[in-house]
Amino acid sequence: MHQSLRWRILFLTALAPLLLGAAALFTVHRDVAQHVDDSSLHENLDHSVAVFEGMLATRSRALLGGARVVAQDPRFSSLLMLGVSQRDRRFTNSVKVTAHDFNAITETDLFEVLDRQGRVLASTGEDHSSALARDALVRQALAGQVAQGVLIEDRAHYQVVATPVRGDGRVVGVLLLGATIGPRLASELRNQMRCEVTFLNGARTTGTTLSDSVDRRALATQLAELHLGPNTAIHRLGILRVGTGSREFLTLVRRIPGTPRNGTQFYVLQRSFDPEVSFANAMRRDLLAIAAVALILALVGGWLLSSQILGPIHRLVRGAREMQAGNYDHPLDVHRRDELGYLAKQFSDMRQREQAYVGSLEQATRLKSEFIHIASHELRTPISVIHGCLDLLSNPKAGALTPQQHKLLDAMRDHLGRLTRVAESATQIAELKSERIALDIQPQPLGAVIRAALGLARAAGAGRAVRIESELDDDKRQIAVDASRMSQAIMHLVGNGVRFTPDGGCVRVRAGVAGDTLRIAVIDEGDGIPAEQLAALRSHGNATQDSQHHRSASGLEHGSHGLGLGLPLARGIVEAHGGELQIVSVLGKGSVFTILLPLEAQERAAA
Amino acid sequence: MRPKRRLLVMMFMALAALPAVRSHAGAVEGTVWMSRDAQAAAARPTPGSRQVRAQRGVTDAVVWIEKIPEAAELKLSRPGRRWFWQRAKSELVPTVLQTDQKFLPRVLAVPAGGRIEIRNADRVYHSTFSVSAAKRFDLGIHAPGRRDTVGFPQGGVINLHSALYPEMLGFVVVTPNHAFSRPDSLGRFSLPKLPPGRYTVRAWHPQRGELEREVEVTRKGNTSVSLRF
Repeated sequence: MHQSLRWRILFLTALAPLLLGAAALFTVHRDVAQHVDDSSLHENLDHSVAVFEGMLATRSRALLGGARVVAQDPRFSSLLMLGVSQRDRRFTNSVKVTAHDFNAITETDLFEVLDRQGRVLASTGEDHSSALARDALVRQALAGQVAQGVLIEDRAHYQVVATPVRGDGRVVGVLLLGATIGPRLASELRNQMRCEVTFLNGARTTGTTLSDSVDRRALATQLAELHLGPNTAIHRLGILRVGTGSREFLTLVRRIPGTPRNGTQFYVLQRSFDPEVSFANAMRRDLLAIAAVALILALVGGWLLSSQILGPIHRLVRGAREMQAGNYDHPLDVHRRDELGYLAKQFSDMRQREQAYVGSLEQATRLKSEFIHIASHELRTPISVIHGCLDLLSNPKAGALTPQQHKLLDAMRDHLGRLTRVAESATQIAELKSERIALDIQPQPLGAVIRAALGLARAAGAGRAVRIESELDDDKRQIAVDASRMSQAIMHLVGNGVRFTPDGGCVRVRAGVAGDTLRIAVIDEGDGIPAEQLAALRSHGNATQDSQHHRSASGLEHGSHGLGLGLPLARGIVEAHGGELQIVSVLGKGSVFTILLPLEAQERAAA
Repeated sequence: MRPKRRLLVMMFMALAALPAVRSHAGAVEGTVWMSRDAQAAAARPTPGSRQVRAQRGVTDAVVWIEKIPEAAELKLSRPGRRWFWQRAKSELVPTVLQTDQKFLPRVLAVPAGGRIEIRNADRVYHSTFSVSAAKRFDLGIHAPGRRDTVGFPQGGVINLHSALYPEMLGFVVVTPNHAFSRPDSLGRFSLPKLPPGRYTVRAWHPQRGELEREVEVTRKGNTSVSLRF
């Protein structure tokens, strides 16, 4: 049974998810590729620079605000306002305690309190500044100005605010607050911007978020090649690519804001491609999973749908085959209300009508055969009576007859003989049609059968100048046939050939075994059979009613007006033996009638 | 008669001695100069308001003698209480007012062992404290109208702060003895009379700090001293 419909349905249902999945994958890939495009990352880095500098500015403002609040607090400033004579031995401790309390509020890394001479009274932050680094800022603050800037130590940078502490209109001390520009700020920035951050003091790294030493080394190598120094025009460096094969970073170097223009305090922002790539991979994986699930669902759905459609169709097809084999009652089992149900119902109705019609046809055929059988049988009695009467008439004892009367009697005898044969043929055909024929199958030598047939044919074709030749491959080969009937079939075919072959022509009978088939071919040299007649012959084997091609009608005993019962009779006999009659004809050259008898059946019959 | 006469003689001698004690004492007078300009202005023929302008803020200064004899201190600490029949004057406790978010007066001088009253004469809450070595105290938040008395047993300068108003600032100068003085708006001051001898005069000003001078008090006449910050 053909399965193409099911595959077509499955293909069509799977096509949509496949196309959608492919389109989604393509779109995601393209979008991510666009995002990864350098320009957007460059913008991202520039944005990170802005964010970093904004963070520094915010921290600076926070430091300044904190410093102002602390410096103005009387509990803080009152201590610094004490002159030397007003201090006692607890003074330093008091300053430290107070500073510690205020530092707990400001939470700065540097919290240093200096007196009006610039000496440190207390330093309660996590870190402590060196006198050299803070000197300029402290001096500025002692002069009454708020000093902001970056405090540069060997191993760290600090954002600092030095605020003068005033009392009674004078500067009585300095408060120095500072926040480290170091690992904590770097990791904060990284969390915000997904950007690796490194701080540099000259060639020394004061803080970095690069966790991999390979990346750090790559950056150090690259920066060493740049020879960063006081005179480096940082803005001309542009965006660098620093990579170690597996990971590549877009890298931007800038001076830390607040440091001198010719300083060597830098920060480095690095943006890796990893997040985009991993995002794309994750999206691709998810989409593939979704597409696979959708495909499976579509295939299952398609399978169910096709089963819904194809189940009834398969049952209808089986019903049609059974009908072809003659079984009109095969159950269809299609109980549905949809189009297929309707189709099944129509098919069932059609099958019933067909059954009724075929039944009536068979009945008609049977009646026809019965009629022919009875008619031909009934013809025999008057024929034999007429025969007897003719014999009596021709007997001299019955009275002398004139030569004219003799001639008339001969003519009557001729036509009576023909009538007899017609009746016999009709009886045989009727028997074949009604399958009442009883074959007397015996093993016979092939040659004998053929020769018997040729003998009969020669007798029938006496008077015609047509040669009849035979070629036998294996004369002695035993074949299991009803010898008389097979001979008769061959005789009819040879007679037919003789009838259509012009005088001087030749009819050959060639018999042989090809494979597992016995072939008996009768080849004439007639004009051949036109295509439409050939088709009619092949379909029902009726003899042609046309005898105009007979070159010489006299050679046959009943002239040119044969009923043409020979061919159907021959076909009937061959088919009764389980064989087949093939007809090949070329117009103007002749025809070949071939009897094909399966040898297996022969051997079985022989056994 | 003899004992009577002896008693009379002794009384006479004691009375004669009294003027003698008073007579051999000299006062230390002088001027506190806020600047060289102030000194120059005073030297002009008509100093007047020019000198007052140049001496602005001089009234915040306190001048005292570093160390005086105990007898003199005893005498100065009980002014007017000379005779047992004279009633002692009720002690006047100097007061610092808190008004308009200021300490008034800005500078108050009291001798060691003295007390001051801090009175909230404002319409808002105040909170006065001191972290100076001479006296540490914290009055906490006090409502309008409240009075607190603070004693100062030892000498020194005490800064008065307000925990609520950073700009509020007052000073209490606790002098070691009663020999102290406040200059007038021209800067002139006059210390009590002291027995003859060498003394150290100290002056203190909230902005200008402290300075000292050695003076010689003679039996006759006043000693003049010029103190320039």
